[in-house]
Amino acid sequence: MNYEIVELEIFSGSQATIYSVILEGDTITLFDHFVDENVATYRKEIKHITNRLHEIGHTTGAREQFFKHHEGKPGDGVCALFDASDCKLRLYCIRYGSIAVILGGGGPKPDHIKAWQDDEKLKLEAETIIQISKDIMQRIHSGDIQWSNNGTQLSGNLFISDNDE
Amino acid sequence: MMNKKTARKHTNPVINQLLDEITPVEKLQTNIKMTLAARLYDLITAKGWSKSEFAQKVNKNPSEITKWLSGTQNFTIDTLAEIGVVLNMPVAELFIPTQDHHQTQVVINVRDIQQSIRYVTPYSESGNTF
Repeated sequence: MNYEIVELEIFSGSQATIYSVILEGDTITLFDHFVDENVATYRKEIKHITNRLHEIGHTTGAREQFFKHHEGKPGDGVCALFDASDCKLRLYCIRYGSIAVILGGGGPKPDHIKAWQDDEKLKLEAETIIQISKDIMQRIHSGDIQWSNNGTQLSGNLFISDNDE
Repeated sequence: MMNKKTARKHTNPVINQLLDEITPVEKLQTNIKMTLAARLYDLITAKGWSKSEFAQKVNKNPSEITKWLSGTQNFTIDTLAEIGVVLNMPVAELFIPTQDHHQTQVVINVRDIQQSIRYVTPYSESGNTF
């Protein structure tokens, strides 16, 4: 999987930097797709999610308490944004402390399923963000990607390619 | 050669429009819920309590406390009063925003002057504190 990590300027602020990724051959981010796919049916929820992301970036930071954890592999930071109990949408992301979040995709979670593995769409989105987390972790370890001096921004080679491995 | 640049900035007019549609009241509601949750988490942590311990003190399930701390909870006055009693503080103080968690590093380089360290006790109006 080849992709570029981009910063979502509208959400990023003094408390956290919010990123998403654009897959090769695409022009919009995984989060943009999530919005496009759900805005017609779940407009109120999408607005609520965007409002919360804006608060995270500008006011509260990406505090652990605002996310549902253990959506991915142990220690990979993959989680889902916490939303009100009557909300249907799951948005998957990777959280790096309280200072940065990479938004992936997601979708509505049907009432009858317990985990993302039980739904094809959620499985695809969760597995995509799990792979992205793995790629980024490898590149942070190798030094290809670093945290910028004030520790709030990713820098380095933010174009991820399978050929890099 | 390694690219040292930070991420390219990306905007989406649809998302900008959605944010524009959020009313000032809705913005404030979300802001209050999230900052209150952050404040509550910090107060519980400062007491040295786990979520489960706090849950016991307010007679709730730990899952209910997770919801309280998620920043999505619409607290009633009654619940805020219960929290205030358990935390032993006025309810109004629950709304004081939590201080910025960002770490600030101050580096002072001293050169070409004689170095000394002076200890000063806290200021007191009642008299000489030395």
